[in-house]
Parts: sequence; structure tokens; C-alpha cells
Amino acid sequence: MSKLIQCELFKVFRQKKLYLSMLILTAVEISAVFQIYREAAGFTGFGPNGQSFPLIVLHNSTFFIPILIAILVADSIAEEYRSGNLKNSLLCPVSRMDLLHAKIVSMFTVVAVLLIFLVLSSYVIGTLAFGWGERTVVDEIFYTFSEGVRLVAQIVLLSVPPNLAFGMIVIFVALLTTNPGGSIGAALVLLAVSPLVEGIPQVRDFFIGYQMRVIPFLPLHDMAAIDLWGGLAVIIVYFGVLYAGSVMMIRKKDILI
Amino acid sequence: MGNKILLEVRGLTKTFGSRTVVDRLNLRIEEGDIYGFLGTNGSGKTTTIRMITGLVHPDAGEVRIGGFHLKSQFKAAISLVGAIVENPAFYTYLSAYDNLKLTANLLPWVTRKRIDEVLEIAGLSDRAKDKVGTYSLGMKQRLGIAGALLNRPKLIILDEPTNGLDPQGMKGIKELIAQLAAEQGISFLISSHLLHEVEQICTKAGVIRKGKLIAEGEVRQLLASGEETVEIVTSEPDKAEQLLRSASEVISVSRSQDQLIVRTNGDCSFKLNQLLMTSGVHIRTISRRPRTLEQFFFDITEGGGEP
Repeated sequence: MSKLIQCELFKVFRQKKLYLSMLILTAVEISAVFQIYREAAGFTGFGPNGQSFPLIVLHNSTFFIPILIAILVADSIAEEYRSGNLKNSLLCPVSRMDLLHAKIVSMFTVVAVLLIFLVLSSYVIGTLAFGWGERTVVDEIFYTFSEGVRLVAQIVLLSVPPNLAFGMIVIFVALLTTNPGGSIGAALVLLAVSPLVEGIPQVRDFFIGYQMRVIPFLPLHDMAAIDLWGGLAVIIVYFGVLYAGSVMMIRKKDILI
Repeated sequence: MGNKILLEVRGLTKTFGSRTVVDRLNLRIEEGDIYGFLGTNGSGKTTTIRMITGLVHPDAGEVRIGGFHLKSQFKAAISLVGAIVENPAFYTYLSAYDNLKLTANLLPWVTRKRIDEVLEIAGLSDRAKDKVGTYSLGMKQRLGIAGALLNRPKLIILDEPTNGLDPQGMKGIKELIAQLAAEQGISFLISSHLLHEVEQICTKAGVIRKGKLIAEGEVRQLLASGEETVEIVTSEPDKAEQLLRSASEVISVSRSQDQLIVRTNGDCSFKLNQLLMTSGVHIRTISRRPRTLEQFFFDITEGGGEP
């Protein structure tokens, strides 16, 4: 199992797509700098600084990370199936379940790497653009540096579960369709319909797109425990159902390419 | 005789929708065999190979490799096999060495030294650090075989190994197979529709049609059985043709000037010679055309299934 994970990570870190994703995130951060300069965006009432900039970026790039995850995950399953590389792994003495678990661990690593990169690079870009600043400022509230870092860490940690659940949706669709374009397309559709579903209060709490946008930023507001645990429960259900579906798919799948 | 059975397939069946692609197929490969698995496109060769390697789940039947049941003892069974199913697949952004390293990671007992060894066997040591994206098809096939050799398999399964290769590439692969069989005692299951190649390198062959194995045996025996073609050159072709057509052993006679090509249903060139001689037909030459696997294949697949 550990060898399989090692293989998956080796592939992830040798692919240009991961580094291209990092470049895209950097571009998003730079564009945020320009937006702030034009006073067109930014939710910090007081002038932004390097300490606060990661929070602005995290808040404004909720759907960028999932899109990149969808591309990388679709590549690791559907594209590998299409190119025949999945077949190569299955011709070795490894179980299909272990292969699925290695792919999930690899997806978790991608999520973590992209989030950490987003935060670190936004600290750098924010500082270069606005200077480090004396305090972290969010919604006109001032925090000390350590409180600001803790806030960023909480947002990053809370971003992981919804992104993993979203990645699990892509894994399931990739196994079902074995079509990289279809898998990425399904992910994009899910993100595109998110604002529409959020307009329906009765169902929005059960929608992954809504939870992806809300859960990570609960620490910025008066966090009600019910919101957090309720949201996490929805995410766990998503993850569990899609994991079970993926297990069934990979066990029964005939590899025909 | 008495060789250990390496691969045993019993009653293998696969249906896609309403179409039965493989139908109660039985197959047996012993140690030392180079088994040619013949069939036209769509006959069920690749589906059979996919079931033998666990990529496709059979609807019925069982596969045993080295005595291990593929379904319940998958890891032990597949450890004895190296395979290229259809085209060899690689990560084109990685070097040949890195591709093999990825595969070797999944085979706990394979060392880094073994990667160098198989690259040497496949004749790719010089290009080992080059990205696979820059490789020719022939080099990719050789790299595929290198990958299949990593775990020192007892059986290598190659699905259309010379597909798309130029004559030189084909020759290289054939030589590599012969070398591995002779020097390392590896058995092969080679699916192909290139009959001349199979005839050259295989010791046994099986023919599959519409998912059913319709003939199987040693290549020599298969070629010795069934029809025979006799070529006769005579100064009296009209009379000879008439006589030959009346003979019960003769299936058909075709004529080109003084030459008659006679298809018979067995080893009867001597009888035909006698028939013509006793009837006073002057024969210039009479010779048996050696039966090729190609002829055998067409006889069996276009006819009713009997060689």
C-alpha cells in the first residue's frame, strides 16, 4: 500500500499540471492585488497588508482549488484509464482497493499542497504588494499576527474536508465514465450550479458547493457549532456515499482499454 | 510430456450485452511453450487475455496460473506473469528508467539492479534516461517487454506484440522472444493475426473463432493435418484435370496453362501421381506445397471449423 502511495505521489510531483496549477493560483493572487489597487474587490475595510492578504485570497478563490483538483484527479484516474497506465498498475500484484486508496491519498496530498502553496505564496505576494503591516485585518476587525496565522490555519484546515468530498465526486465520475473531459465537465457543472442552488434555502445546506463556500470561513464569523457539525456531517455523507460507490465501481470495472 | 502446467483456463465465458465474446474457452500452456493465440479481429483474443490477466471479470469459468486461482489468489497468480495487453502504455513525460521504477515499486522483490538488467536485455540501456515520449513504436514495444520481464515471470503474455512495427522492429521482437524462451526458459502466450510470425516462433498454437477455440495443438501437427495442396505440371492438362476431378480425394482443381493446383483432403500426392501415370498422362513435375499456418488458418476459419 505504501509503495502504491509512493508511486501515485511520484507521478503527481513529476507532472507539469501540478506546477501549472500553482502558476494559476499565483496568477489569481496577482490579479487580486490589481483588483485591490483598483478598489474593485477585497473585503477588508482597512488597507490590506501581507498578513491579511492570504485571507482575501482564500475567500475569493473558493472555486479555483476545486477546479484544479478536478483536473488533477480526472487525470489520475480517467486519463490513466484512457492511456492504458491504469491497466499497467492492475497487471501488478496489487489489489484494486489498494489502488483506489492510493489515489485518494494522492488527492488529499494535492489538496494539501495546493492550499499550503496558496497561503504561503499569498503571504509573499501580499507582502511584496502592500508590505507586511502591523496587524491582520479582517472585516474591520484587528487581530494580532499569531491570531491571524491561527485564523488562516483554521480556514485551510476547514477547506480540506469539502475539497476532499468534491474530489471524491470527481473520482466516482472518473471511474464511472472513464472520460477525463466528462469528469472535469461534471465538476464544473457542479460548481456552476452552486449559486443557483444556494438561492433555495431548503436544499442549500445539503449541497457540496454551498458547504465548500461556507464551512472554511466559519471561523471568520460567529461560528455556531451546529453550522460546523451540520456542514461536516453533510460532507462526511458525501464522502462516504461516493467512496462506497467508487469501491463498487473499481471492483466491478472491466478494463477494456 | 509431463511438463508443469503454467496456465490453465477452464470454461471461460464473457458476454457483453447480448453478445457472447468468449464462449466456454479452455486453454492450457505448459512450461516451455511458446503458444500462438490466433484469431481474426473481434474473435475474442484480447478479451480472453484480459480475463487471464484479471483486467476483465469473466461471467463464468476459471483461470489458474502456476496452480494459483486468479480470482481468490490474485497476487500470487499475477506475480508469475508479465504482460503487455494491446499497446504498451507508459507515462510519456517520464524516462524509460522512471517508468520501470514505477512498475518496480509495485513489485516488492524487484531491485534497482533488475531495472538495469531488463533495460540491457531489451537493448535500451543507451536510451534509458530519455523520455518515453521520444521513443519509436518499436522501442516502446521493447520497453513493454522490459517491463514485463521485471518480476522474472514464468509466463509472458503479449497481445499483438508486433502491431504497427516495421519489418526490422518485428524481427527484433521475434529475436527477443526466441532469446528469452531459450535462455531464461520463459513461456509465452502470444496473440496475433500475423500468422507467418506465429509459425516462425511458436511451438503450439490455438485458433479462436467467435469466442470458441476451434483448433489447438503443436504447430507441426496442425500443419501436418488436414488438407494438402499438390502442384502438377503436365503436357496434357485437359486430360489430367478431368482425371483429377473424378478422384474422390480431390477437393478442387485450379489451372493455369500447364500447371494444375490440386487441393486434396489428405496426404495423397502419391495416389494422384499413380492415377495420372496409369492413365498415360505425361507428368513433367509433381510437388507438394508445404502447408503454411496461414493456409491452415484460412481453412479452419473460413470453413466449418475442422482442419
